[in-house]
Amino acid sequence: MARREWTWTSALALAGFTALIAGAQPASAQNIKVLLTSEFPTLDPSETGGELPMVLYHIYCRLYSFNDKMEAVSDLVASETVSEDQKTWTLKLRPNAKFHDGTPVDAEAIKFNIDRVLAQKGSARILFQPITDVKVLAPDTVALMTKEPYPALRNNLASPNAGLVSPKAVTALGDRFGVQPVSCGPYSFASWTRGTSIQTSRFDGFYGPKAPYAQISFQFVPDVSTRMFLMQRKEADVALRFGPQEAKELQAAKVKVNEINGRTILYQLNYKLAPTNDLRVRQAINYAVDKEAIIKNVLLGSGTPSKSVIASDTFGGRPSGYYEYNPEKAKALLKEAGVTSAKLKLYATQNRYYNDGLVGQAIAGYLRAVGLDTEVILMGDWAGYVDRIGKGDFSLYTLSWGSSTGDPDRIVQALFHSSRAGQTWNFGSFIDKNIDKLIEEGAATVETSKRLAIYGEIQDKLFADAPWLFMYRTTGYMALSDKITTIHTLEGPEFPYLFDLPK
Amino acid sequence: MQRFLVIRFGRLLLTLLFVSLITFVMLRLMPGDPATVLAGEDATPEVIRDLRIKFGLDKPIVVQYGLYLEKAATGDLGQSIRSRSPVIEEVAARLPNTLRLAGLAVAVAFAIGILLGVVAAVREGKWQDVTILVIAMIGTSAPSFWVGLLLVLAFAVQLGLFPVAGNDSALSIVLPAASLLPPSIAVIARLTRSTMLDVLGEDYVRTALAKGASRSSVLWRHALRNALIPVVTMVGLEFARLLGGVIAVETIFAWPGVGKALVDSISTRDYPMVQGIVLAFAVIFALTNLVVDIVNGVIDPRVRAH
Repeated sequence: MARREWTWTSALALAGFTALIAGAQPASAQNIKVLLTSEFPTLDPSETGGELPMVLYHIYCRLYSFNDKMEAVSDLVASETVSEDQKTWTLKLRPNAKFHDGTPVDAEAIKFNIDRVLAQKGSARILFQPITDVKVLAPDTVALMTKEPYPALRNNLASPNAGLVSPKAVTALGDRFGVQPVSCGPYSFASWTRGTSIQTSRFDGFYGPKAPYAQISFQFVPDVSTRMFLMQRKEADVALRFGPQEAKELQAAKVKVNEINGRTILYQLNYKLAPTNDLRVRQAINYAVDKEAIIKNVLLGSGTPSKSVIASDTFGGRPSGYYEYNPEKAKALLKEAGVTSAKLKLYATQNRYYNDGLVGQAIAGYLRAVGLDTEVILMGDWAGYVDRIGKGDFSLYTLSWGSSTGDPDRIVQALFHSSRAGQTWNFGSFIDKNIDKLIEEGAATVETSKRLAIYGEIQDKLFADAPWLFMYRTTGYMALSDKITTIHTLEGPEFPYLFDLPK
Repeated sequence: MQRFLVIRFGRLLLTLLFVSLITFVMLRLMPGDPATVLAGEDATPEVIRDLRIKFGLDKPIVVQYGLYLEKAATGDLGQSIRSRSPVIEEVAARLPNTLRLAGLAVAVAFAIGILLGVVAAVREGKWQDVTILVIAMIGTSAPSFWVGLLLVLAFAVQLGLFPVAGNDSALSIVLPAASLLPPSIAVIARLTRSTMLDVLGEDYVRTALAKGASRSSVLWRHALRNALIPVVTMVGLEFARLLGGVIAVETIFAWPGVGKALVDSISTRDYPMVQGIVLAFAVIFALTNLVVDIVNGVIDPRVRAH
């Protein structure tokens, strides 16, 4: 009997002890836990994907960065002079900027960075490509040369992919740099527990305003219910990527929820294949689909209809018009085009964007209702999807577009320039020499009012030509704990900043 | 014993060779390749071509496989295409977590399953037996992601006894391991029950009882020992099944295991990572079988003779 009692007592003691360990997590207001949906393989700034940009913002400094209005403003640059011919940018750097390893952020370091990216095969290269040469004029002065005037350079250099690396660390670490990065942002990289989290701590030598939190831990939690539970239990402070349903549940559980702009969802139409090579058919497709009903019923209200190829967060983005739901007009246009029986192939992703598969099904339903026999192909595997689309055998396929630079040049270049026809992301083979000319003019025009006019013209012309089935811009939701005092959400990127932005 | 181990080791190598070949070829038959994924949205065809050369994907598949084997023979499984870190390092950082999770689940399932199985066999046809059989049936049909979510709701969200997710405290493993339990317990309990019933009908059990041995010693020492052989084999199979089946649980609990990494690597076409993880699984499967055989040999010397 005595022995049994002893066992019970020790079991209880053990349980109490373990409960103590579990409970003893003093959540300091200075330490913030951010929940991301997936881990990324590397923190190299030249990589893209998932929520990587959010971590990049916090660790990496840049020559320019975005202010609250998403304008690219000087960050590491103390002053800039652009030459008469607009092709030489002379940048004077802040005198006190240091990398996390203590080495100075000087002109040599800038040259090293730009040369590194231009020599690299990665997605960041396109941002630096307009730069033809970099010259070190003084320890704190560097000159960037471009072939043509390129006003969007500031925006490109403010992109999360334009983060600056410490030359010393890159040289020392080589391939390992991506898993233990050294830069000059407000938070420095501390550690990475594979599969679990990335730890960062406030960098006291930061040249800008002191970062508000002592530590930020980015934790990977793929399951949406788990992210919700963690916020309800106050075990985390910021959680991203909730759908409208979860947002309601969180609010019901008294968790603060903020809206955050998402990406523009569109369906690219194929100019190479009948019947979508006919303008009237493309317009008919746009009239046939009830975007508002899809937003209300499939997205549960988490979106706004898109009215231009350039979203409003981007320089020059403004509505060009709206193809309202009008099945009669769609049928009339199809009749006019002589399309009596057509088979369409619709490709949609599954579980990449919110309810994307259901949206694809809904669109097919609307198209069938106006007499377009639509086959739906849903693919959950992104690499396979891109491969399949690349073969060109589609009538329409879904794609999303976000603005990481706040400048329209990259968007229109990638989606509409004829040099990209049949390739990513102009698989629909949109070719129009006039649009090419306008795109090139827009890229090289410095004067703001002229540039606005050019992008206005591009948007109107493209809208009328209906290269897409225009769908919607999504609204995302993020949950915040009471500990979050400083947070900035811009109109463009889908991620918040946990430090103060330059003015 | 030595000869037994040598033969087993030779068979292990052959299995691994076969597994690596299948994985290698199947990955490359999948549409899409790592160069396209890595190059991203703004890739020009030249960038993609350069990347393909960099990863050696431009060479004929036979040459690629030859080079892979040559490196693998020296213990180098290559670099992850996406993280640029050695595959061995990436796997080593995650595999122990998966093994810990599956191991704990199997150990607990083994203990509970055997207990329930013996009770059911002894009380054959009585209410205890029926109850256990019904519970086992529910257990087999309970998907682990569903059990996991229920456990989180009850013990983490409502009661706050355990962490919701992650791997921060010693208690973090409890809920994910518990959500893996029901099917394993059910399988082990049912198997134990039926083999126990067979054994309890054997002559030697009757003889032992007739000689005056106590009921409990007959049950636990004579009968169970003989009933255990198929159960131990089943435990090995369960462990292997759990290794593959933990992906859903790892996702729900944000558990830093190898399952989630495998899925991510497949979707980004990180060939070396997928190959490394599958190979690691193959090694563990084979080793588990070896351990099962050795344990069965200890339980019943007749097994060793074969």
